[in-house]
Amino acid sequence: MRYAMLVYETEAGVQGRGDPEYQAAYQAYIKAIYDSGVAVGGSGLQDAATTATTFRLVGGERQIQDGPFADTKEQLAGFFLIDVADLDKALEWAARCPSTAYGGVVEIRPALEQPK
Amino acid sequence: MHPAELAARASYGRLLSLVVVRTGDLAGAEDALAEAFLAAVTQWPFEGVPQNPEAWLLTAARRRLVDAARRRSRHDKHAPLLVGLDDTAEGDYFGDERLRLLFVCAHPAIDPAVRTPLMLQTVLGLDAARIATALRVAPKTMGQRLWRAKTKIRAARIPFDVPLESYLSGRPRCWRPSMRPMAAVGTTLLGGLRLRGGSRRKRSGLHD
Repeated sequence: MRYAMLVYETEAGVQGRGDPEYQAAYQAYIKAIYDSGVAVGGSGLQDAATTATTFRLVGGERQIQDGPFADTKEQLAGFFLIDVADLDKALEWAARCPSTAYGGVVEIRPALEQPK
Repeated sequence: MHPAELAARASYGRLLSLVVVRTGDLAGAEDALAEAFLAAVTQWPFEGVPQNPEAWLLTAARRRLVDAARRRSRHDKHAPLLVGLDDTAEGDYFGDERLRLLFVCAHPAIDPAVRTPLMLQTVLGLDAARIATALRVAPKTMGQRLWRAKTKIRAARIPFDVPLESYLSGRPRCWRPSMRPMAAVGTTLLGGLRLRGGSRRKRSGLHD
């Protein structure tokens, strides 16, 4: 079953990404999750506050706005698409995600079944 | 008392646990078991009570799940798993998966407020209205909470496993808060039921 692991980080967490320990931890985690065949895809994302752009249609008109869709304390900092047997397996990978050691949180969302 | 009612009171939770454990769909398992009980109530008076009522009910419920899976979609990848499940209920003893069911009800991914009601409904077979009264929650609210929890168990695929060692460190903490209100509700319900007469054990549906 496929799940999205959405990694949220605080502003401080995003700013602290240059920290060598953080980078080493992520390098190891990404290697482990891909080498095991669990990760199907994903990516880290640049800072939402300074780089996000939001698009929507308002009454048929294109509206483009600077900034993220949701203005929250934590921002979406990256995501993995994983394929594991069940929620407990997904939780095991979430528990190993380095961001959680820096105040980040991981939201696990079951993916919609792919149309055949 | 109708033999089907006796079986329901004595074995509801055990039957449900056996039906649900391989599909992971709690609401679907409840429906299938309810249909099996309905079939028993209508068929047994004419055909006689089967030698092993519980095994009959289990087989009937599993057949219904197989039929439902076939009807839903021939692309359903669980359908092949379900086919053939119905021949496992033979013999006098056919297992008990209530522990797995309890662990799913107490899973940390389930809203803590609904863990106790979920246990009461699935393992003890109490209906939502009665649980709502005992816990002083509006019946509609209780029904919605239970429905939401069952949907999550199926959709997020919470496994029907006795948790692994790595996980046990976290799970008992989730367990403990559930057990006390559960005991309190049990006592309340048993007390109320006893006042209405009948043996405490039979009237409550508690067995073992």
